[in-house]
Amino acid sequence: MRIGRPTTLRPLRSRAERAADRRSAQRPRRLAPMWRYLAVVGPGLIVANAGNDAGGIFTYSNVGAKYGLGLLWAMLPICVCLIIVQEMVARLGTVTGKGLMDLIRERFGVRWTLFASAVVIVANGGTTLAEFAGVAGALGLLGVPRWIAVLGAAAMIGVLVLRANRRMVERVFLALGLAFFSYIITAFLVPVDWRAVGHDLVVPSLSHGGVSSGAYIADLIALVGTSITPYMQLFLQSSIVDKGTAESDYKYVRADVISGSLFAVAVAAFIVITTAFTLNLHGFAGQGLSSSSGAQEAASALAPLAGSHAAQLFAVGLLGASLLAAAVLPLSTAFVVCEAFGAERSVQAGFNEAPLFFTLFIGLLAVGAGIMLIPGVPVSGVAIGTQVLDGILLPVLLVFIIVLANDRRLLGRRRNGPVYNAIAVALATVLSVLTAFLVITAFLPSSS
Amino acid sequence: MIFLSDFLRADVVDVHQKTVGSVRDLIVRVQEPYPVVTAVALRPRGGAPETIAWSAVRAWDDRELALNVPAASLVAYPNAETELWLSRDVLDKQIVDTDGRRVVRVNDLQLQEADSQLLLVGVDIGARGLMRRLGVEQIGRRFRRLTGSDFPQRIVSWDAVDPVESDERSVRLRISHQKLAKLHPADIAEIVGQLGGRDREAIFASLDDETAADTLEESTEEVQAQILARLSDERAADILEAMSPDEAADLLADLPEERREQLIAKMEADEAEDVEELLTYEEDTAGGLMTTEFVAIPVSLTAAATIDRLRELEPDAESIYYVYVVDDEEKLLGVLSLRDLIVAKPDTRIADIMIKRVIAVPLDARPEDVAAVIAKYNLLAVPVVDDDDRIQGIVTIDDAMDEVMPAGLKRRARAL
Repeated sequence: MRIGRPTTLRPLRSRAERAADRRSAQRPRRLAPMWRYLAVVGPGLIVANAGNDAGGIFTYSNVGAKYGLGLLWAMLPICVCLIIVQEMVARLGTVTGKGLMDLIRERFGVRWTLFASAVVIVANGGTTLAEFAGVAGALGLLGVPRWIAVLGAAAMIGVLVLRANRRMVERVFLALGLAFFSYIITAFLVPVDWRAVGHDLVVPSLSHGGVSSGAYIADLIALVGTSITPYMQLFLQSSIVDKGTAESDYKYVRADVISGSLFAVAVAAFIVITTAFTLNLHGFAGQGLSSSSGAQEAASALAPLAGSHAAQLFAVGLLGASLLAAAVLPLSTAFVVCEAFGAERSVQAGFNEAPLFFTLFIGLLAVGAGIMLIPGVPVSGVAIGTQVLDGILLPVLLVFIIVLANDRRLLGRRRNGPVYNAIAVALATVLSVLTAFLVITAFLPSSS
Repeated sequence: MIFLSDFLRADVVDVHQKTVGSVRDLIVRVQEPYPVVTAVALRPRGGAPETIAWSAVRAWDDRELALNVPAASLVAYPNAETELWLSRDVLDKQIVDTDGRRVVRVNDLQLQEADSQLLLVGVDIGARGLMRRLGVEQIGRRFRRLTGSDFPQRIVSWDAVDPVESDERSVRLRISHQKLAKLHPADIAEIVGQLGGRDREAIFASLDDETAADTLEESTEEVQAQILARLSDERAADILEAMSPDEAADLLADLPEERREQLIAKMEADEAEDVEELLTYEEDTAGGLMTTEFVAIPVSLTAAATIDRLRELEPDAESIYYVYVVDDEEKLLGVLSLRDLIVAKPDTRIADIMIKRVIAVPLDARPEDVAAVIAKYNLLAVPVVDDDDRIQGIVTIDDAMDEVMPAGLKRRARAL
């Protein structure tokens, strides 16, 4: 008789024999799936990459097409600010083990949480809309009618959220998004004046290239808003918290965040450079992408690499990036808001148990898909416009982040130093001033 | 009902009606079953101390706290830093509601007067608490008049909550996870799944090996991997030993090879060998699904002798459904249910009462097929045999069910 290992009965096969059996077992127990390897890619890299979504692609392409290298100088300060902001958020997540909305609730109470939630919902709702614009644009290039594209994407996201392995799906979309590496390759295929690039990267040019100052400021805000998206900060902190990164590992987190930011800004800069030496030279200078057929135009920047397949290449990348964000945004927004208010938050709970969660999730999805279903709503116009909204709302979230990152009780010796505060406050101030300027110019007759 | 939010921001006046500040917080001493309010923290005005002992309070309503002493004789409450500040340390934080078995957020705190003491008795986790904090409870009343339905008052008794906070401060206050540890491991796993990584670790650190093992078995793969990545090798090995070998093998299979080898090396030889053997089978087969904990007896025993052996070995619940009868070469000859064994006369030979036509599955059977066999023959477990009919392990009904149930039914997704 035995339980598990034989006590008296078994030794018909010796230990050595069984070890030999084991060695000869032909198939390994588990073929580690590809995504397990990808799992070691840190949250910083994934988040920064997810920032290059539909809104990002259109905004960068538009800036390159409209101003050539004229706004390239903004990429360096944006890079510094992105690193500063992401680092603060990552530090908060690592040291406190809590998400951004949690900290806002615990530190500022119910009223401020309500306000912050409203900001997050509006910003992320706008970004979700941009992703659906991206889906419509990408599938439009492949000849799929818009209503099929939008409804199909919304249905697919609903099903994925309820059924599939979310992490695996994320990684598939992320992989599709790698199609945007083609911008970097293209930059080396077209005759780029690298000296001019070097010069314009460090020397700010204040010429608007014949564009009105209102439009110029809006483009600048969109550029910042799409590079330092509010949603990226929430997502980054949440994934760090979920991983349970130890404070002693903070140096790795920081390295991950910095390399991720550098990578994201590099890709963005290459999109600007590539479009500056393609679209800008072919009649888009001072005009930018047209509001309605922007996807087609943006795709043509990849023609030197992919020739007649440029549209398909662009569409694949855009589709992956848009679907990734469109799948994650409504869900994570609903989640962080519900968590801040202690409301039931689970896909499995069903509507009656988790009404707030499902209202937010379905609401965001419906707004994003619904607006894109309206005939004549322009793809690139929406994609870029929502980035302006993100840029306007970013300073609000930034103020919360700065106050939290200065809290001695929360962070102790890891709270912000003066240099950090100076840069972060400067970013928030500049964005607020630009926003105020944008609002003023919107109400004044155009001077150009 | 009295709530913490009624006190916050109320003016504090001394015995001469002179304002000395406004209420910033209430301070309690943690005791069983209900913490008692010991002091008031102030936003002081005119040189008053930052804390005042509760004994100096004469009367209060939602706008004013009246003291029974003059401002000049107020002294700071000495134990303020070692006790719990309700607004700072509890309000707006997450807690575990061990009655509802979920993680909730503290919207307000309910207090109650008893024997001239003010006790912390409940935690408001509902929409009413939120509206009170926002100062819009009136809207709630209007809403009720309009629709007839009310925003529910959801209050959890303080003795049913367990803190999530695992920082230095809670440790100092000796707030433990005692209540949580008494829940069913499946419930603990669900709660743990709703928390961030740091809090998960703290909770696992406070559980004993058995509970930790059961909780880990019930957790999602992500939680398992993360917890195991953080635990010391010794503790991880202890927990793995307490798990059933098949679950332990599944978990180890997901780890990087180096760490897997380390952990197996730290485990007791017997358990390690079971697990290593299971690791050689592919995941999506009967071999990968089975556990090596089962009862097998030689055919020569009597019913009484078998029962005696069972008492001696104390097998786990899931491995005692059936007793398998084997020959000298471990070939499966028959099977007995526990019922057959108990109703048989003590001196009956096993060979006479066993069921000779044993339903068994081969090592490489697919999980769906194993589940189908279990369902078709109404079994609680099915033996797994090799090519020579030698019993290698059993697949129990619970493991087979996990394989065929849609993931969504069992697993609660964590969105971020």
